Amino acid sequence: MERPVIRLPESFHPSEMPRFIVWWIIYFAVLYFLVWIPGKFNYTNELFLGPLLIPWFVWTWIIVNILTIVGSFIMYLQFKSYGLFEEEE
Amino acid sequence: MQGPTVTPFPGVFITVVSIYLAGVLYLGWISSKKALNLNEFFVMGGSAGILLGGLGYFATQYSISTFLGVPGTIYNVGWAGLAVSVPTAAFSMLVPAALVGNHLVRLGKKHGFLTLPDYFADRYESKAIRVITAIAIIIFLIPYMGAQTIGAGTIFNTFTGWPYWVGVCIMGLGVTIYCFMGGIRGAMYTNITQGILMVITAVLTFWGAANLAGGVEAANKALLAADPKAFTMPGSPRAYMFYPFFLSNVMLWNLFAVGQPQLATKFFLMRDRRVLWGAVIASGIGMFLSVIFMYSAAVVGRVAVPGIPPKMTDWVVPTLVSKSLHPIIGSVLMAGVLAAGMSTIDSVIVAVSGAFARDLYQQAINPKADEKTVLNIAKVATLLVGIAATLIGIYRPGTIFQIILFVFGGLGINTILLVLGVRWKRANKYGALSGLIIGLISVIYFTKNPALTKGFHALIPAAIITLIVMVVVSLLTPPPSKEVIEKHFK
Repeated sequence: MERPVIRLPESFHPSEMPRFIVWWIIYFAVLYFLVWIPGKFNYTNELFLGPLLIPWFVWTWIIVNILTIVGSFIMYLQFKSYGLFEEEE
Repeated sequence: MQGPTVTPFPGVFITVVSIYLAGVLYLGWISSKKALNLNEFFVMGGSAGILLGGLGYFATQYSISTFLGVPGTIYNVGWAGLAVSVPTAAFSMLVPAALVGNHLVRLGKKHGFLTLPDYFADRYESKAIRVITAIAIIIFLIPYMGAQTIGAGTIFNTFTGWPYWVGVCIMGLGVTIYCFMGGIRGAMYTNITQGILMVITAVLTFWGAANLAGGVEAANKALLAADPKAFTMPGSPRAYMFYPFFLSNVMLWNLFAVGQPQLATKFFLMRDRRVLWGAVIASGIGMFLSVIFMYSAAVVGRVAVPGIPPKMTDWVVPTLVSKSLHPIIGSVLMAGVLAAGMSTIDSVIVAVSGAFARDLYQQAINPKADEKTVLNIAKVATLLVGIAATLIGIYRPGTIFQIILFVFGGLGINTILLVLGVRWKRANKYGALSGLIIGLISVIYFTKNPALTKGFHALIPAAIITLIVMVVVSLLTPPPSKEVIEKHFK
């Protein structure tokens, strides 16, 4: 089955990318850049405590990490079910 | 120098650590039967599976600093200190895998690359880049290994009362012997045990610290009453995690980690891309669990074992362990901390001996040398590098974490060459060479003049300069040859 692709400039490698991978890139980019944003839930000089009196910024990082690991796992399963690993072999 | 508040238990400690060392040496000996050619010695024939690949990457990146130096720093900073690597811990292998790993796994197999300079020399058609990168690897990574042995000296001194240098020698020479025997296979086999031991160490240290403090919430309540700023940025009593440094840390341990040759070459070891993406999950779990538990233990440790002076913070974790856990469990955990250092040194030793034997000797000095000669030189280099690292550990030029930060800066420049080499067909040798030289000079200059970086780690402005120079020079000079484009991108 032909998968929809997104074309990139010829000088980039790869110059085309399956659309579902672009969605994964967006998912991980949102998580990655979320922790760049200063604010109450990430980088703050205000006292803002969550469960166990641990600051909320630590809980944010825990959630980001868990979502990253879960996302990596689902992405792996999707690569496998789409036959990407077999294509390589 | 004896640790401030540690209860030593020499007999149990020596027994447990001896069993652990005997185990890793046995694994090195098993590996030696297979390490009979260069491909096996440096990339174990590209046969690593998910567990070897994932735990190997995690155990190599997370060093003794994760278990001694950083917790020591965090002890004096509070919850803000967790920003050293917790925010994007699970990205540590994901980002390198997505940017370059996917490509390097295939290329390494296809073209037989053994070292990072191997890839650079081929992609950029330049022997000069090979030589400069190899020399930079040697200069930066030998102190990095020395930093790991410093931790071993501290641990042995704390738990046995033996002079500091004895622990340095035991660790330095122990790793050197199993790498000499088994090359990267010896390193990778031991990394599985070491990776698992590191996670167990982090979890149990946290559990011990929390118990000693009467629970996490009780510890936080006590700390909140004493120092509420320890719950906010940039931390207290040491205001450490200012926003530019926070952002530097978010990027340093994932995006720029792949510039470390001992990590980049891990992609040449992996069997295929299924292994790569499986390894990303395994390493993500290992890295996240290690740092969240170990670094939280350091904050709770402020209440559990108060009053450790700022200059002795490398003793925070040994103190916590000795006060809160049974001596046998404590000794196993200290073996776990040693494992963190050894699992880093072993891969680094192989990377540095590769720079000597493969990149300087075989490719630059004596291209006609046969494989057996180069393998022997690699083994001799392994011995010499191990001895040099041990001597640096004895000399102790800085704290563990200071040395690690310096090294990550110096080799982080490779990241730009690697990412553009893999992702941008127009990147050429003129751009790479000028970017590399200016990048290395910049990172040293910014390290010496920190006021100019406005609070960012020296690598960040140096990497931006490298990127600009490399793109501009590449565009102003002829593109790479058709052969390179064909070989690397088709």
